[in-house]
Amino acid sequence: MIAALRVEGTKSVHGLVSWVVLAALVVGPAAISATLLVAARSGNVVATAQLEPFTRGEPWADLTTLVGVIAAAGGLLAFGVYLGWSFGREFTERTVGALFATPTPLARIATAKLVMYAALVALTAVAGVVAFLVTGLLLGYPMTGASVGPLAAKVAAVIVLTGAAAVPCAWAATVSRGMLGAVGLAVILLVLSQVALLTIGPWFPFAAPGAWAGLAGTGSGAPSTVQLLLTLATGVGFGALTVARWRRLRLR
Amino acid sequence: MTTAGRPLLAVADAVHRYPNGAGVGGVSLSVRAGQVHAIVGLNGAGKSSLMRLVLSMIDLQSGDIRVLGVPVRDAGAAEWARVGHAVEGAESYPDLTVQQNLLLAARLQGLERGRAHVAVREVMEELDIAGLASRRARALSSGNRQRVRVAAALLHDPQLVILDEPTAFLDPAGVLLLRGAIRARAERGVGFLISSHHLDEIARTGDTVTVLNAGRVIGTIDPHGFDIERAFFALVRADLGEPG
Repeated sequence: MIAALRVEGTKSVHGLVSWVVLAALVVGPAAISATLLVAARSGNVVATAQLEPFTRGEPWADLTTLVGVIAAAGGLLAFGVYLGWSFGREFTERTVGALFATPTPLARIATAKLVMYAALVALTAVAGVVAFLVTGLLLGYPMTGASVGPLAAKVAAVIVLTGAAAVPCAWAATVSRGMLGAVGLAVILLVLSQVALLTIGPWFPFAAPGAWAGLAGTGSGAPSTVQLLLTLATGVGFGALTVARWRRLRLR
Repeated sequence: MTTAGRPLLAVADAVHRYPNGAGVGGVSLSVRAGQVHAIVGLNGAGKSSLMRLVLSMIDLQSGDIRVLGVPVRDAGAAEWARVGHAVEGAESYPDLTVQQNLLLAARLQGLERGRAHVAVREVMEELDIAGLASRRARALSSGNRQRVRVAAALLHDPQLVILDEPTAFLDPAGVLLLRGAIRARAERGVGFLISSHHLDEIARTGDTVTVLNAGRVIGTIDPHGFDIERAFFALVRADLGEPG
């Protein structure tokens, strides 16, 4: 397994996609949130209207909601792009042939890809929390550990749950033998999540992270622990399906 | 280690037909230690499909293939560690350097870190690509990309090597280097299955030349014969029912 991890680690570290996804998910939510909050504070009517459903006048909590909602939506797409690249590139760049007939089984390579993905999600969560804290401080919010700590943990948890929700994109990239299947699935899941929020709510596992971060998080429709665990289970399940698919992978 | 006399590769009535009728339809051949077995044929003759079958990239529909004495469907880490290949669809990662690509190949082949670095350095020197070590694969010429693919197939000192069109894109110097690398290993007992369109090169490198057409073996050619090209086309035309 060490060999597969080193191989996939090298590919991830040297892949521009990894760093673009990380930067986009760390800087994007914090920058958009800060821009909206500053604009609203300055009396911008449009920004005030956009923030109305997400804010309650509690600075750190409002920032948590904004960063979480944007990270959940953008994360599904960005993580989907990473998984599409990691799994799909082997087919589109015609490198998959070199992975056959070696002492490192294909299932182990797929597992290593998922481990590298988990590392990217964890790194994004940590960096996302740092960006969240820096943004709050730059906005002049008072730093009180007792209240900010749980909110920072929630930002990290939303990113991790979003990472789990995107795992089916690895399966889609494998089945479609390319990146487009993964990106297409990420878009479909994002659309369905919006529909689910107005219908079955967080029982749709791909909608739960955003629901927790956003609207439902400020109201009575907050996802239950079971619903959040269902999102994690979905990620683990599709991870297993992806590895199984690689185990019996054959070329056409 | 492989026992003397037992083929490194034994293919018996191997069949894999694609829905369009292409593929392999009952091929039998073998590769013994020290043998360079070349397969030649027109485009679509089944050469690449046969190699994919040998490397378990596609499944046998019937017949039997034994790699180092083990049925291909049961071949595991112990067998594949002694096999090297450079076939269609085994390109280098374009965003990685030549050295990084070869180190990845070495690690996938199970070489530990120190040995992998030594093996990569040696094979780069042997195939005259050491000067390209830090160049990204996407910036290489087709010929140098081909050298990197072949280097990845040879670096772990395999006993059986499968090469699909290894001289494609190579300049004359590259062809000479590759021929030397193949012959030196064959003299040490390494077996090769090589496909090629270059009949003159096959004549210089191969010990045995099998001709494929429409997924079947239609004959063999003496690589040391007077006119290998004439012999090849005579076999193909006879198989197609055309006048010679």
